[in-house]
Amino acid sequence: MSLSTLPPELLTHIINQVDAKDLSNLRLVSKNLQIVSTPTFGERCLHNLAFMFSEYSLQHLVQMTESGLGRYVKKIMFGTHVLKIKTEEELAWEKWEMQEDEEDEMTEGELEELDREMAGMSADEDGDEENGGDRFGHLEEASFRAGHDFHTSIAQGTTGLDNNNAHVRSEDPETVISNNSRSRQDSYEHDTMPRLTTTFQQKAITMTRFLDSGRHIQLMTQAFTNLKNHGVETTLGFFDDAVLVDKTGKELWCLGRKCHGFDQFYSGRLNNKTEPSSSSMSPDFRRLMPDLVFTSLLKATEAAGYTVKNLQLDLVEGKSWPLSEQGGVQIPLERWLFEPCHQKTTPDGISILTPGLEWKVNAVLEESILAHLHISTSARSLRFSSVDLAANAEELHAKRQKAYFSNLYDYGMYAISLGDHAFVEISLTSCSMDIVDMMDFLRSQHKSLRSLTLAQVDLDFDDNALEQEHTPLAFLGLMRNGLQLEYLMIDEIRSAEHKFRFIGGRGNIWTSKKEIQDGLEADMYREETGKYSVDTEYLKHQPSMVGLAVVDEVGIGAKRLGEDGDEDDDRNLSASEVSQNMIHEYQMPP
Amino acid sequence: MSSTDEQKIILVSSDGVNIETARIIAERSMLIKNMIDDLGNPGEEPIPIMNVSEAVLRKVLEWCDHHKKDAPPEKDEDAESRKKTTDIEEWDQKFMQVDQEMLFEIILAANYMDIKALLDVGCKTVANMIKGKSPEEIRKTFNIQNDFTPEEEEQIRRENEWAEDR
Repeated sequence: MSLSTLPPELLTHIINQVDAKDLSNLRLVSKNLQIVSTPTFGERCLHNLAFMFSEYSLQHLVQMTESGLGRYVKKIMFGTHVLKIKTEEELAWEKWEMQEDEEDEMTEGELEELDREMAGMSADEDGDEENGGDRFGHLEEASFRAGHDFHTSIAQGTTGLDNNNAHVRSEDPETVISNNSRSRQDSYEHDTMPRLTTTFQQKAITMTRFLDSGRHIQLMTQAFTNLKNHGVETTLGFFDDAVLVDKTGKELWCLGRKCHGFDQFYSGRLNNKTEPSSSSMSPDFRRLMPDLVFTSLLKATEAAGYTVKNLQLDLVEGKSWPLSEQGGVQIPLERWLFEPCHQKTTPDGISILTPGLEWKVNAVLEESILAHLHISTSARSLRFSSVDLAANAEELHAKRQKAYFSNLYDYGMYAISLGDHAFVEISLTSCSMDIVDMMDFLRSQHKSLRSLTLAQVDLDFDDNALEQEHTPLAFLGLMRNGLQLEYLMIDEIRSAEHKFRFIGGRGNIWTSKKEIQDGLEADMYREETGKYSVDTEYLKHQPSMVGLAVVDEVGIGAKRLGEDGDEDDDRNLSASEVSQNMIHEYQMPP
Repeated sequence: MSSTDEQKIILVSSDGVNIETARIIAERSMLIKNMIDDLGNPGEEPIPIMNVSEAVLRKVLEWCDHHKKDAPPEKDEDAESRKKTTDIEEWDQKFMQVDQEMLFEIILAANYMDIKALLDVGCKTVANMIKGKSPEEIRKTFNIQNDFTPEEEEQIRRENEWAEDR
């Protein structure tokens, strides 16, 4: 008896215990082992793949989907990290932004100079390319100049492409660079050159030409056609292959993983890191372009007739250059994100969504908050939650940073764009929201919404507002009387301003209309009488507040109130009294 | 209950040797447990273990003896056991220090006699022998012939690359 004579089912049992990284080697041992180990290899090593926009990486995607191994793929993600030389428009935009930033500190004379530069640049855009060399003189910022310079080399290459397709396509990038250097000899550019290594010049030119030629879309189209032919349904999406560094210098790799072909393209020189948002100015042209990746994805799936069933986006907010290939205007991803949904609206205003689509968006926001959004059009559900990546495990939930989910400028836009009465189930966990937006959103869903979960939600409202429309009481009233809920969970809805002040109760789960009516009636009564619950635990951990002593004092005071035979000896009374006192203390500067 | 535990039964190996053992030990094997349940009157008739030789059967019963007090096997532990590839308790590691011939015989017997925990330990032991080894080292370890043509080998190498994050 030996390994090769063991019955296949026992061999499979052994292979199931082998580490993923050993499976590749096992496939190379013998034909028998290759045959037996390939299904396990496919299921464990090929189910979730990441590619990047390089010829090498996408060629492999095509080959893989062509082969029999393609049927093991469950998810294909594309990195948004590209090495793309900026276009004229992008550079102009960048210059403009720079100007905006510095405007305050500038003298009038400097401003005038900048204006002249801007005017000079737009003139250049209309002018002929041959005079390109002259324009470098009036650009001030070093890396800006350098980027512009590269742009010219690419522009020349592209012009050549149009005239003489085959020849320039095969032209070595180095030739372009040397031509470029010659044309630049009498300019005074060479002082910035040491900042840009030849390697990066070549790579930036290679990738920019690859993207400009549309070759990436051709390859992706081929890959999706292969998957379609094999009847393989996959989750598609993209991710910002960047690493975040938090305040303490700790690297957060939550969304980070390496694309296939990364080391090949960068010769292992980069450590899969992008610079902070200032990288738009950094000379190596690395940047995250989710919009470019997403349009390519949509174009390729459309060309291949491959239906996107699941879409997953893993984004790092504020890291991508605002310009896109749609012609230089920033188009929020969100605007066209749901286009493939083809939602229709019935006469009574209910949105009908094409069933079977799952949208997942994971985004790291600038304050190191990981936001999750999951919309299922088949379940007609919306789930949103966030995690504070920088918080310690012991940190109170109330004190953690939360993602904002509110209106057209935040994550709420994903939900709003699906139309009125689109959701049957909404779950918002660990997020903050304006009370007006919250109420408007719930109202817009009142015909369809049956199940609502609100946990760790911070509501922004004006405590002293005179209008009665958007108060905590009105909010509770809306849930009780304005919606047709059959399931409601309320846990720790707080005032965003005074985190210790709860709206409604803690850990309440009501699973029938009756329970919801009764439960909310009690909550509303407490709101009306000012006896809302208070988070004493939070107050204890609030160093800026007077602290424990006050809580104890008021606690005793409240107890005395009870002893004095006050008619209302409800336990919430003490809480209410605590809160009244605390608000008072809180507002008094020490 | 204790009378059942101490009850003796007789197993017959494939090479015709009678081995007496305690019922509680033998019932680590689901095959034997089911046979006893079906036959009734345990201990009266010897139970034939058709596919397992005396040497292997004694080895398997040694394992069952050591593990007789273990909790009965859970229904479906597959997902969890996969995670802990190298997790083999010390006694089992020593127990599995046998020649390859015996190791594979134990795996076969554990499979036939339906002793899931022993089958897992056996398979994990083999998986650990594969761990971190190059294809050539694996061939050497298990005395396997390379029957690929260079072209086939190249093709598999290329396929393997697709799974790599680099």
